[in-house]
Amino acid sequence: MNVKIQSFLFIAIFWTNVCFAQTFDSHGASEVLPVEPEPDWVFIGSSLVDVMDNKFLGIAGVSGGGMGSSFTFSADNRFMFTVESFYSRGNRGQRTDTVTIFDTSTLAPVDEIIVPPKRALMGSIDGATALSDENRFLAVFNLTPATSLSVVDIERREFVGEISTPGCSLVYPAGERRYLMLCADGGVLSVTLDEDGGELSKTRTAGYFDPEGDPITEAGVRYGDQWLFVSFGGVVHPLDVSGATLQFEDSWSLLTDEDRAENWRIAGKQHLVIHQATSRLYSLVRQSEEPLDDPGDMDGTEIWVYDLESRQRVQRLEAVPEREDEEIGATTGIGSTSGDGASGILVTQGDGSVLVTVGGGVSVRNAITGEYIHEQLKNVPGSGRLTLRNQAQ
Amino acid sequence: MRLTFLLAVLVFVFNLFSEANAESAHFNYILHCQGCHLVNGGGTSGKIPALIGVGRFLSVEGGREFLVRVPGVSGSLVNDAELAEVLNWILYEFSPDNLPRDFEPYDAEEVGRYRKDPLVDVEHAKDRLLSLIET
Repeated sequence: MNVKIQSFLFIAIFWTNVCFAQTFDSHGASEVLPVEPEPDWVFIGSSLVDVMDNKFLGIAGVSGGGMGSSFTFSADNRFMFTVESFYSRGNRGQRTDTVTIFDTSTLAPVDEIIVPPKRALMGSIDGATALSDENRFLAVFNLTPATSLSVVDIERREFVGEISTPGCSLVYPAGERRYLMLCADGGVLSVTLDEDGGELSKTRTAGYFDPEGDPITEAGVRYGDQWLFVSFGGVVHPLDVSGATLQFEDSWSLLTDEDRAENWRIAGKQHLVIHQATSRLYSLVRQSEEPLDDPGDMDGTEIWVYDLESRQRVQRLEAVPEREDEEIGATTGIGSTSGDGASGILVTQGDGSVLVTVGGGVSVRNAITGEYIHEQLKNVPGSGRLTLRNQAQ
Repeated sequence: MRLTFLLAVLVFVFNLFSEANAESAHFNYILHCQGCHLVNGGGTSGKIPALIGVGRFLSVEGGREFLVRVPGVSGSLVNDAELAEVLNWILYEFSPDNLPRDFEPYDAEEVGRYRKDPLVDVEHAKDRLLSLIET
């Protein structure tokens, strides 16, 4: 090949690349999102979606194929945090766990805090991490299977230390610098930090729930100063975290005798959510003759809505709109469900709140009337954990 | 001579007792303990305590309670009688050489009493007992 032809080829290839690059650029312009989110922005897995306008906004590059925790946001909304695990040889080798910090405007990782490689690898469920109510210390639940918490100072971006929590698992915020954990014997553990994030005290209280007879799910919901955890048998166990000691309040049932006779049971993974302004509790339920080994493995076919003041059911909604059969399919592997309803629900908290359900696609409806806004969102992930972007609402 | 005979009878009676319980105790060990402590009770260094030689805790004050109050024992989903049984089985199986001569097996009542008071600070309690064992 002579030099002329070589030069020609080079120039041709160069310009072709430039053209392609320009074409790509004009279609793939990246946006920078405002720091203050809209009330209807929701993460489906790690994808951020405006569920009201059915607009895909971006994706955060979280590792681990959905094994990460859900996102936690800084008080000023500029950053979000999740915990990740990496092995030096991909699926084996030396393990490194990080609390990774993403910029909420670009959804790009900007920093990381290395924590002991001990965090519980348990899928994207509640209780993996908790930000204490003063928004400074993030606790990561560890399971080796010895249980402990890694405490991270998200203001100074450093690992503070580890607190052993024998026999007690998962972690939930329960006060300014306090966390709540659930124990294997049915008790609860409260862990209080000092001003620097070190261990100040631990108190274990027995008798919150019955781990053998009627265990609770991990998908508890916060209602002001109360946590509500629901048992496999549909009993709500309110736990008051306002005082110095945790108080167990009177339990009540989501299911009447009639409901039980008709074999209604709680179901779904992310099966509870509260609309705070109206005190409405949404619960996924399904019918099953046999008790469910784990309600999280089966989809809910209806959403029952309760008034938390009167503790009465006020509404029954279908879990998912009627769809063509081929659109609904059971998923397999980690996070598998029965595929005949919804596995997760979420409500947004601003004016004009919407109810989002995941199951064979994502649907959006008015949170109060139940009227559909989108029977199925287009061009967004069809499944994944739902996280409200604006948690400060 | 008479002492030897008495000992032989005692060993026989003890064997009868342990044979009767060994099967269900081993079953509960497989179901509730083996997943982490492994088939041979070896555990994983730095993560899961080994059960081999764990009988040495019984030789110091507070050790008998400690073995029940640790989270894996007190929080396990078996009743008090089953828990006493599997705990005795672990001691005979993995720690025959460390058992005190006057070792009396746990019973349901004793185990039930200790497990109601699970340890909140295991590491501290363990270090204290280990320092007693070493001296």
